[in-house]
Amino acid sequence: MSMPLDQDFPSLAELGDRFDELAARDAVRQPRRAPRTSRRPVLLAAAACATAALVITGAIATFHDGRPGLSLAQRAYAEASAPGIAHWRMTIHAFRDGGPSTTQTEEGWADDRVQHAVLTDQDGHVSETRVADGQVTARNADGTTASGPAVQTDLQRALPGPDPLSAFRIAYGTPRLRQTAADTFAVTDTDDPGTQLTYRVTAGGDPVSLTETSAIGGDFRVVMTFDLYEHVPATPANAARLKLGG
Amino acid sequence: MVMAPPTLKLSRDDPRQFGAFYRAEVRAVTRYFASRLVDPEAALDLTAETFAQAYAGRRRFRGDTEEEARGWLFKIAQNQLATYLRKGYAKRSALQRLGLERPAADSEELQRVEELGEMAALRTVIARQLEDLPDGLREAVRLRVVEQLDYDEVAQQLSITETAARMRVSRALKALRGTLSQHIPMET
Repeated sequence: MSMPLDQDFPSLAELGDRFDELAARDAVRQPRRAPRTSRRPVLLAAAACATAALVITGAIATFHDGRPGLSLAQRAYAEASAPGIAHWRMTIHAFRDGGPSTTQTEEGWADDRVQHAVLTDQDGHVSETRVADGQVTARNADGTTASGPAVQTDLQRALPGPDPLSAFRIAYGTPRLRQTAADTFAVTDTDDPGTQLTYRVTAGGDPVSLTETSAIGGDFRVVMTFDLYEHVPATPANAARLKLGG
Repeated sequence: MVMAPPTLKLSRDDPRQFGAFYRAEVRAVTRYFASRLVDPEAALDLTAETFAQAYAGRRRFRGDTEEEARGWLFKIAQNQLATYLRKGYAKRSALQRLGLERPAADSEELQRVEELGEMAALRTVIARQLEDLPDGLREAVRLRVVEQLDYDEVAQQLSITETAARMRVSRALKALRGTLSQHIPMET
């Protein structure tokens, strides 16, 4: 039987006390959260607001997507952090050292832990990958499967979660996220300054594209253009999409 | 029977619940790092940063059970370990963002962390495998892991910067990972 934490590991016990102090301060500052609602009612309400505004003022609404009080970063964050399973379709162009690009399309699903992606290369070959808990399982175009530890390139490491918007979500609210143009945000990794992610979004905050650039091992650029990015409810049917063949 | 929601879930709206989650899991997380590393200070640094990230990101936890909460926490830990092995040092970004510092551990506590992770056995394995390493890496890992010198002392002995010493040790451990994986638990 183990000893009490403060006897075995006093520094860890003290760290626990510091978390308690921090939590007590945050509990005072933190407003109670309103229950989360699904996106659809929000959008319906937003549409109603926008319509009402048009009727009342007779002017062109400047409400963007019906959330006039939100900045572009806030709208983009809301899109990136909606509850449920992320689902996307994208076209990926990869360029190395100014050479010709390779092109593939990807349809993917991700929750906080798992990513399942179906890739189609420029020759029409289809392959699948599923990454979970540091392990990748792949089904190749010839139907064979393989699995092992997920070995990541530096570029892939720049995306710290299963969802392509996870880097944006994590950087949001920190100096690592900068708005660099009217519709563009850059995420820099202070530990890997040679690698940068650039997100372009619509006025409503929906992702348009994600570009990764890296100077590590030569100039390398990957441009992912979103045809679709949404969150679907975590129903059993949608959760099945997180599996190979799903 | 209705299961009580995990304390991590409760902490999303009431941060004061996080302390209970921390105290329930901190030994397991420390053991996770201690059994995969040979540096007790690094194991404590990574443990502290893992919980800081969990606190900062607790509202993103969507599970309903203690198992899911544990899985979520160890996913953060895995990411921390991967980053540490790649970069050669423990990030403290979440701790800094929260304004927290890890309290210093005395030699007795560091010894208990070593025992928790059976680091002595791991050191023996590494010492046997040193011959397989390139010259530049072998001496760095020997000084750091086997002789247990601080990084500034390793740097001094090899006439390189402390950053370079960290990188050499990190690369050496990475090169030994295949061997190490046979001696450390792979599951959380």
